Amino acid sequence: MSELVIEGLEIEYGRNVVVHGLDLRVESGEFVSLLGPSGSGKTSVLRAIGGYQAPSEGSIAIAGRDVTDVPPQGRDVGMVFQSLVLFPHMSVLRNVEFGLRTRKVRQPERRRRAMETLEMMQIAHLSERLPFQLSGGQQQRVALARALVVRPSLLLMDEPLGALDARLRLQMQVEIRALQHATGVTTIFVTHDQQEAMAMSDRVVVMRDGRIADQGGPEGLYREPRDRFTAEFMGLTSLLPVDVVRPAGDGARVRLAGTAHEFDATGSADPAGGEPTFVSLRPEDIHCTTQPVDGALTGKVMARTFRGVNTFVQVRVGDQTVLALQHRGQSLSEGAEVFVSWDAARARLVAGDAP
Amino acid sequence: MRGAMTSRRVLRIGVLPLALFYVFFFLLPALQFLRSSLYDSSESTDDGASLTNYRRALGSESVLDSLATTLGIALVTAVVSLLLAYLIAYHVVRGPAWLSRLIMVAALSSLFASAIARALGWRVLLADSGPLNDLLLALGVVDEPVRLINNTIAVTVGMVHVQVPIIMLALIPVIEAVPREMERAAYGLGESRWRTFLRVHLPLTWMNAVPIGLIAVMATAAYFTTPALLGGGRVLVLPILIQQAAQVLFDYATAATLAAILSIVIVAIACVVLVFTRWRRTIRERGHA
Ligand SMILES: Nc1ncnc2c1ncn2[C@@H]1O[C@H](COP(=O)(O)OP(=O)(O)OP(=O)(O)O)[C@@H](O)[C@H]1O
Ligand SMILES: [Mg+2]
Repeated sequence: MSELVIEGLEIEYGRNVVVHGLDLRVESGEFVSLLGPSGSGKTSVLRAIGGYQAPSEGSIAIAGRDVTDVPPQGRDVGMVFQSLVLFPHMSVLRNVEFGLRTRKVRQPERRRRAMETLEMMQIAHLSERLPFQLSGGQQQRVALARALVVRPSLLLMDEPLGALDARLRLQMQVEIRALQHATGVTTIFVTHDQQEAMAMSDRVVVMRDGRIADQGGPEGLYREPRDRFTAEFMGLTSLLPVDVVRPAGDGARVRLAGTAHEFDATGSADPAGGEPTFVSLRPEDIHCTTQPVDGALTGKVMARTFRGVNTFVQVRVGDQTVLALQHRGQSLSEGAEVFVSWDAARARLVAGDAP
Repeated sequence: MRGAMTSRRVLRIGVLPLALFYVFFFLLPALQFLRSSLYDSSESTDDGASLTNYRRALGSESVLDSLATTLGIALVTAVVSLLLAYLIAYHVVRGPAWLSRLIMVAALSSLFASAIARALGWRVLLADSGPLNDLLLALGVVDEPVRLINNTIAVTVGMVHVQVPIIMLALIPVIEAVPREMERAAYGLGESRWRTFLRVHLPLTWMNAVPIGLIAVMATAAYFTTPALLGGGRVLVLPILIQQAAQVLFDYATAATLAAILSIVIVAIACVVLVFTRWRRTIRERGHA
């Protein structure tokens, strides 16, 4: 059953429409990320789901009940705000008990459930502290515990990890995902970090200018983006301008713009509205070798970036630059002449103007 | 760099005339005035400083009554004004734009009207044959006009009217300091608006409202116009006694003594309240939260 059904959602501030006719369904137990650049309307959508922002158009149903005109108090939705907003005058325990008190859960049941949730988050020993006596990660856990303890039918999180450093972020990503699995709570997670969205979600919804640009499983979106915007937003990519020679199979034969070099690519061959067409190539799908390869382009290594886990090289090919991953055991130095090739199945046709 | 130095020096020198003016025309006369409270007014022989005046004043029933009236009106005014101003300021901060603009205009225009005009306005409203009594009679609440004027309640009402706009303006930043999301978090956890105000907003901000309340106590206790106009000579607060001593009886020593007593009592109350509420500590904690 769909836990959340949004139909034709439109949100406006004054006369400024920021979300345009958005439709979204989230299944029970699903973890969905809203991903998009700043100002694309992610927070606005989340606020509308939580009941903090009245939509100007459209409807929202949670667990089969239309809640479009229901205030936040009556929605059974847990929300973790970006700024966390723990109640600073209450101990950790009292913060977590807050939602139970409003639901008239009596002691000792109230304390038992709060402590149980704190134990699940491994912060039971901090229950008597005040929020300002906690580290960022600990505050994060309290905010999550406070939202989860009432067992909401829907959990909303607005960039909850934005304030944490990189290491803690990764750790919390894993923990939140594990917790979501354990509790089975339907979750909508807002982020503008594409890696975070891919690492955590069952499904990623990419937003652009108040509309859904694309959606799907993380791998599908990464490998088979619908358009140039998604291709660029979902991770590092090289975009080569091409002309379509003829459709072929579920893709097309294309020619690299300004050259006679022809190759196969997957994806839709006729973009709507005659927008410029590109082939998107992920760095790990581009092979650079010093030995000649059949049908390869020749290029020259312009720059090399060591990233620890891997090393990227920027290669000049004709008047284009591509970003490639240096393969294991390889050592490409700046200025080296290389042969550039890729699997036809990994060359993805995308269309669209620069975002 | 040099420019900054020079302008700082100019600033320092520029402050000097102001400081001198303040010392010569306010501080010295005030000290001189207070000093006169140490010399006995009834005896012409000058036998040095003593606390005779204070002993006499504190032994006088009328002075003690007056002190009690003054503090009573000041405290009630401060508490009532704080509560009213809190609700109004909350609407200025959280309410729709048109409402907050309306309230601001009303508050500012009331501040611009002189205290005398406002007090006389209340005299008309509260008069025996005034609109309020007419209303009470028409509604059948009372059978004959009730005395609404020339008593402590009238003075308190007038003082609340004076203090509310000031306190409200002072409370706006206090309320703004609470992020909106803090309230939203409470709503999301199922708390009603009113109980969110009581359980989240008030506990977070009341400590910062304490100093504002104290200012209201001090300002009210030192107010002369409103008690004079609305008390009709029957509400003898200390400022009225001081004015009578100084300008009717020309007894400067007594006037100075009463002024000193009023100041000391108020400062003492302020110290007790501030120590008791430890408001600085909570401000620090809030900064970390
Ligand atoms: N209270 C408001 N009043 C007017 N305009 C607003 C308000 N809140 C957001 N907007 C506008 O609505 C648009 C969408 O904002 P929103 O906060 O939903 O974006 P977002 O995707 O969450 O961005 P970010 O990643 O920066 O948080 C923006 O153009 C923003 O300027
Ligand atoms: Mg946002």
